[in-house]
Amino acid sequence: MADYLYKHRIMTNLTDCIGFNEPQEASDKSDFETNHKSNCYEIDDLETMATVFVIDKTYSEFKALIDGNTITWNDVKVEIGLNFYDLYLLTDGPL
Amino acid sequence: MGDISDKTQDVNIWNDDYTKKVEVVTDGNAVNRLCVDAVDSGVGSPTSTVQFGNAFFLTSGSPITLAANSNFDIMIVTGTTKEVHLKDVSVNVLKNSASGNTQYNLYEGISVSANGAAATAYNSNRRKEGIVLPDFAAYVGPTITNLGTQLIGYLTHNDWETYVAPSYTNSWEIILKTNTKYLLRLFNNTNQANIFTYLYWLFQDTI
Repeated sequence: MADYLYKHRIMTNLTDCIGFNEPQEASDKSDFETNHKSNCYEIDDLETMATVFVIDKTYSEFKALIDGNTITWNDVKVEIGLNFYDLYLLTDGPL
Repeated sequence: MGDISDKTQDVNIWNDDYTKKVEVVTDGNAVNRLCVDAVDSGVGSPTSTVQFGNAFFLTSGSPITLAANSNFDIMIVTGTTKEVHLKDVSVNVLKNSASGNTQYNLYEGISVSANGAAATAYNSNRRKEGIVLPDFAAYVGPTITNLGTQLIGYLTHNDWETYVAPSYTNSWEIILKTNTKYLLRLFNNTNQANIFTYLYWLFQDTI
């Protein structure tokens, strides 16, 4: 059975970055750090197998997947890069 | 030294400081013709082009993170006194997005309402920096009003370098028109941010 990996990248530093909505990125970063980051499971890296469907989401779309009942922020994995947070949500069925 | 009019004797040629190219042609009519021309161009081996300061490169100081569905544009405006060769284009993308693609595009004859920020074209012979100047200007982030003619639309590899013009393996190159604006565009055609690096290598030559 295939797994589904929902993901979003929040930029934390926009040096050498082109084309971003800077206020939006700052707002997403602030919201994530204030409300959700401490509940996430921090990982160093994530490798996907061939049977994983990867789906990109915006931050608002990603947050909408976390219903607080069947899926909580404790289920979210975060990879902290030099200038980004990568958020991952792995499920065994499509959301 | 032998007499140049005597076919039976070798002729020694003094090549002063290697700044001259020398060609001796024997046409079989008992006449030896000696041609000495100044080396004034980038024509020749890549090494000699670099040595004479006629090779330049454009790159970013560090990798660029490009937002979803965004472009990173460099405009090259060619001059009128040299023939500018786009000799090599390499682009590498660390692709983060699950969907979409990343591209390198080249446009000719674009129009702009603002040039953007001046970009430095570094001389490949670092000893010639500021001595041999490029006969083109480069700018980052021009405000484009017309894209002109698209010459190249190319999907980049991801996590692997894309050579649009692999000059080290063949003679692929584009000789640019004089006094023309070109656009070298990286296009992040995905819905997530991706990291790009680029290296553009240009030669110049006397027209």
